[in-house]
Amino acid sequence: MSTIECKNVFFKYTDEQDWIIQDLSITIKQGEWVSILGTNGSGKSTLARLINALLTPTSGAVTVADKSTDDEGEIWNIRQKAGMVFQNPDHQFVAATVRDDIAFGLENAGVDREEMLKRIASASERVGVEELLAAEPHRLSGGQKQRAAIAGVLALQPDIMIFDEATAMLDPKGRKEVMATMKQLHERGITILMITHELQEALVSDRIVFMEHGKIINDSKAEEFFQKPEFLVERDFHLPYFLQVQKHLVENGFQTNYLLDEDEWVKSLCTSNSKM
Amino acid sequence: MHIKFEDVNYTYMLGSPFEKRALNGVNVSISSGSFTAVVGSTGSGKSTLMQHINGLLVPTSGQVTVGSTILQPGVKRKVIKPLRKKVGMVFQYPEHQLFGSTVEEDILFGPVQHGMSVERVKKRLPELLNLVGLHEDYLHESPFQLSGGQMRRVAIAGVLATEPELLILDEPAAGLDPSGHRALLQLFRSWHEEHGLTTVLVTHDMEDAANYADDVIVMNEGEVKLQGKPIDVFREVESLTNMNLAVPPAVRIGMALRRSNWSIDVTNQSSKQLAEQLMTDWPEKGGR
Repeated sequence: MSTIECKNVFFKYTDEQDWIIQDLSITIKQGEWVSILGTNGSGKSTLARLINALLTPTSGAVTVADKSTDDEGEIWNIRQKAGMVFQNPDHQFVAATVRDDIAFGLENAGVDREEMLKRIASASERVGVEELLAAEPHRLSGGQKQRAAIAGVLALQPDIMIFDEATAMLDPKGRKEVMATMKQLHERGITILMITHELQEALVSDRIVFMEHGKIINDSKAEEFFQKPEFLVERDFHLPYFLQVQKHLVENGFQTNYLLDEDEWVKSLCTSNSKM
Repeated sequence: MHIKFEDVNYTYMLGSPFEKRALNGVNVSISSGSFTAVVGSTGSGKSTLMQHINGLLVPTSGQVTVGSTILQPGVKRKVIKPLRKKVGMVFQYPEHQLFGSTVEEDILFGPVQHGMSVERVKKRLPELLNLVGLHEDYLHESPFQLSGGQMRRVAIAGVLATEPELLILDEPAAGLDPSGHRALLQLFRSWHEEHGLTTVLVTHDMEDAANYADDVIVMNEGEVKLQGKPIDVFREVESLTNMNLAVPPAVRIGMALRRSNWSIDVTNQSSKQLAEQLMTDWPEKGGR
């Protein structure tokens, strides 16, 4: 069980700079699926890097499973507990085959050969890349690359997985593959922290954390968050089309609340149409 | 500039064990002055098609005509070179191509290569920078100090500075946040109208094709499968889905509602228009 705890965190790279993160506090429990939303430059990616100890707070504290990211001795432990998948699928491979790439992380973690083989087999099977183990990473599609990267993180048996716009560079099919993988990891009790611009993707998470100027300005359950789409519209976010239509219907009193699943909403309209 | 592909085949690494046919008997026309979207999923051949338009790739067989230039197998460099001056290309992640020590140097690189008057281009730089949404103060800063989105705008300004007659955009908005995405595509659309050029947008985003293009070409497995006005193309829900392409939500939802006897237009209409149709046709004992 790994709880993430940020307490009064401030962060900036240099003294002259404005705060990138200012007085941020948040607790994320094991097993939650959290979307971190915000415009470019709001501090989302910085927050993710603070959580897996790629950065340490200028002041305040970040702990993962009660271990402080400030404690040099715990850094590798924390990074193993909180794995990260980045945006560009081409920037996260070091080895010539998918198998060697997954092994690379395990070797660094000092896992012995027997155990390594087991973990590679189970991690690759779980995300559906077992057929691709002998493939060269650069020959894979974007979605396959991201899933291979996820397998590499997963083999380290993390409690938390952080996705930093991991679908932004993928085509619709690749996005679907990666989202399905996330859902499956979530069902297995892994904490999912997802940084995204895509509201359509955020709709499936449990909790929405919205950042602006380095602060959390909204932290609510997804189903509550999306009942007030004005919040997003005011900030120039593009609502998914089916929510836009619902917004008009709600404003004109034809509907009382928002349904967050497109199919469910269309179905409700179809059954409410009595002229069948 | 009119673009015409006639029986074009293209094979990567011909004669090697990695040989891969990327274009298969492509016949397609893009009319001068149009804004055309080329859509297709990864590996459909859309990027290969695009690279034929300025002679980065030359057909293995067949012929590509761009304006007055004819590109055939074995075409000479001196034929291709003048064409490249007329064609502006914005590749995916153009910010990766920046190298200048200042923004100004970077933007001027293209025009200098094309033999344009540096003085004249320099005068226009503040205006150009403004157009892409950057303050002119950035001109003398290093592009590597800028954010990813700003760097991309610098790279795009560099392409526009060459005053192309034909603009080819390969996923220009990939990875930007939604407002940055819209701002960029609107910029290209208004540049297209103001300068009367021909624009080809390569994308897998059907909504962009619907919102900005006059014409859509759909590619799959190296072939052109559909071509026409966006709305006519989008009605082919089944074949688009089979090609792993997303149908714009307005069309998808419109069709589902029609099947349940709602009188809804199946077009790429705005959310407001769809909502108004729903409200007009709202059943008496509906969910009010």
